[in-house]
Amino acid sequence: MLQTLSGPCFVASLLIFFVGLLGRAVWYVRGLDWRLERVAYGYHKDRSIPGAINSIAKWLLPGGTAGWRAQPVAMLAFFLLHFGAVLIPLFLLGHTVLLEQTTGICLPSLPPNVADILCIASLSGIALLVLRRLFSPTLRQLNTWKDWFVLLLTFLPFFTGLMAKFDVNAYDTWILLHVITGELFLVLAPFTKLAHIVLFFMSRAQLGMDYAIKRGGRARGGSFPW
Amino acid sequence: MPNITLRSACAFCCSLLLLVLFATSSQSAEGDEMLTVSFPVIDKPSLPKVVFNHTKHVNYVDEHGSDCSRCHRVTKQGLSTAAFDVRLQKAGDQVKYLHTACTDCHSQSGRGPALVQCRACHAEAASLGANNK
Amino acid sequence: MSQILCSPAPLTTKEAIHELLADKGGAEYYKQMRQLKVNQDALAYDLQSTCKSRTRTWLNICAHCGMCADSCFFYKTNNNDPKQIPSYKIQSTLGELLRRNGRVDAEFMMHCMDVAWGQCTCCNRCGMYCPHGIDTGVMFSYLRGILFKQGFTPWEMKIGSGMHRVYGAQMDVTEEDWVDTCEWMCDENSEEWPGLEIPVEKVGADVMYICNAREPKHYPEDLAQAAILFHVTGTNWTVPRVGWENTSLTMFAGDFEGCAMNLKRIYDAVERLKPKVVVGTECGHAHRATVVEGPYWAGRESGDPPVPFMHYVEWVAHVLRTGKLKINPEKKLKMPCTLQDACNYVRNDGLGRYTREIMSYIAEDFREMDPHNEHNFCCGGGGGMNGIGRYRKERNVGLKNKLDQIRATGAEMVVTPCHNCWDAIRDMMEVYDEHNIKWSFLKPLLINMMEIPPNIEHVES
Repeated sequence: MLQTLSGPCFVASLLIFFVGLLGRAVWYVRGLDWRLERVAYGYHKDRSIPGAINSIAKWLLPGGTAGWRAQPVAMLAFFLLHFGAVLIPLFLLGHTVLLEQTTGICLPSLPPNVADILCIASLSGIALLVLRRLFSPTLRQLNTWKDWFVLLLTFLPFFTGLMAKFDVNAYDTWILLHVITGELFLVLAPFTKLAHIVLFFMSRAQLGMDYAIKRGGRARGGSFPW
Repeated sequence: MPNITLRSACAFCCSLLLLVLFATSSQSAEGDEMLTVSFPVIDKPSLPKVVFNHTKHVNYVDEHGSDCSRCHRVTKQGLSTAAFDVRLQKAGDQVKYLHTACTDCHSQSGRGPALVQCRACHAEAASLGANNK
Repeated sequence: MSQILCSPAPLTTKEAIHELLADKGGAEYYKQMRQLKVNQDALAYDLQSTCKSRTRTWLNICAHCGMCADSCFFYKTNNNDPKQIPSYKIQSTLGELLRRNGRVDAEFMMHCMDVAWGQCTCCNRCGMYCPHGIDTGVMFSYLRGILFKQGFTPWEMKIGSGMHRVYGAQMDVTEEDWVDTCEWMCDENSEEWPGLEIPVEKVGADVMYICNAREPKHYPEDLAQAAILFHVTGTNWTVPRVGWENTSLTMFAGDFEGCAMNLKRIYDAVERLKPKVVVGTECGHAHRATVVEGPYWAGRESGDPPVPFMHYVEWVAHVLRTGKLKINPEKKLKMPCTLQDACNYVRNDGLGRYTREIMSYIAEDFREMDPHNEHNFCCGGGGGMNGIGRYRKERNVGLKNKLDQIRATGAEMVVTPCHNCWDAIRDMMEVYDEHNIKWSFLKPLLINMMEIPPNIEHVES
């Protein structure tokens, strides 16, 4: 079973992940309408490109925006989770080997202890987000089952992966669960809020362009002070 | 709304519990010949050294109409202890070469650990952190 | 009353406006609204054809992280009421409308109306605090358009939209009224300022000036002050006979067809008079409607107006910088002053640098609010809120936020180059019994402190 799960199923879920996310990105761009949004996407490239890049880059930087600085706890939770969530799937040693053998793509790999720290950081990030969801009155108003589901979907691959390493006696079981939950994440990402993996960039770029092209880019002569 | 929150949180915890219960059994080893791969020599290994059941490998090649040369090369000194042509590879490529040789055979035969079961092979308990000797 | 007051059709005649005005406070209008039939097919069609990937993505990827909550002054001033979180407000209205694909009743539409106009001023501040770049203000503006098409518009907004459609201005100021007021203000001030002119419909002037109908209607001296400042700075200027009004209650009402009609009148005037630049009065939403969003309503692909348009603060900064207008240092504002950043031209058009440049010329003790510039809070009365009786209570609660911000600076004067902000600040001082803080547009302040050049004749009155 594991042979199939880590072979053809893995390739299939990768395909669904990438094609699905690409599809959402393409659908996003094709659905943009300069008249409806009132943003002249095709004009003022000198402002719109830096505006888009800046809008993304500043939000990728911890403390890079007034929004992050205003909410240090939320920021901490997000970045703890996301550093690991981006780096571990791509650069963990086992993952790079698997990727190379199944697709031929060769990526550098993280030192294992760094990966462990990142994974624990991500799990703490998730724990913080769970606590926030449970106890902040603001979030209690907003929570839906979808939010919990996405959090669970993110939690499981981290947790099973880490357990496989530290609970050596049940290694095979943990690895099996890790492969299943990891692939579940890949398969569901394009169809859930996890699609923000690409749509974050699309949405941020759009708003950056909106401000750069229409809402003051001319007068500011620089990018928006996020 | 708080009701949904509570229910979702419960579902979250339950699935956790299930996971922990599920992951209990481990595999037991028999009284076979267990060997540790000692070439190439690595100063600071990222993963524990590879331990494998030599008896099982011997049995497998026997059953499938092959012999020691399936893995070992004959040299002037006799049968090489190192597997395949690893000694002929450039120093930097040896680990990768050996890894590919092992995993390719495993995945083609459909026997033994799958590629994702890193620690089925990388299992020598003492080798991580300790100075390789 | 037996006639139909509340319907999806916009007001297009004087009679219709007067009928609706006669329904004091819109009592009958709102009663009829409750019985209004939602055209669900048309609604579903509109959502399908106008709610595209940007808005749908915003609503879909919202992580419910709650980071927008603190950015909203309604959330803050309502004791962190979770129902005032921008994300909740839009998800429970537009989000729900999309989930049900328009299969909703009048009660739900009225709920949407109460949120879209009574709990959001479209200040766009929350969009700056969302990691995913979700601009809820933009979505509420869109929702207003959807609601307007179905007839679910606050009474005053409906009238406002009708005024623009019938009079070409937000108030019932006809072309004759306008030209008369220009002549009157000129006569009234020409003794003090010999040679003062308000040239109407002059072709080829450098500057075409456009303003807010409140000015000729209620504060004509504002128009006189504009004329004096143009006169003193030696500006070759004019006002158009038609297309002189740049506000847009149509924008607040969600009457985007009406917005396009406003724009056409103004851009036609530009074509007729061929000015080098158009200067608009001290009004925030007028600038937004005419210069920022306007070019798109006029179908201009580049998103730029036909000639450069300046907000009044840009023009003032320009004449101060170039020395055409000189300030008498003795008469600079001595008391502690602060500055109200209007969302519509500061956050949404980057003009905060110009207002600050002006403050450096006119105030000795200038104190920034916290937060300020792009991050500033709405005055509390934007997006049409000031004008809507139905939400007066909600507005007054929200005003407290700005009052606290002003008080924290210790300022005794709030320089307020925006009509909506000006009204909101006036009202908050009254509502919260604050009698020690003044507020003012720029024009009267500048007239009081400017140095009159030797070539300009001035007779002290």
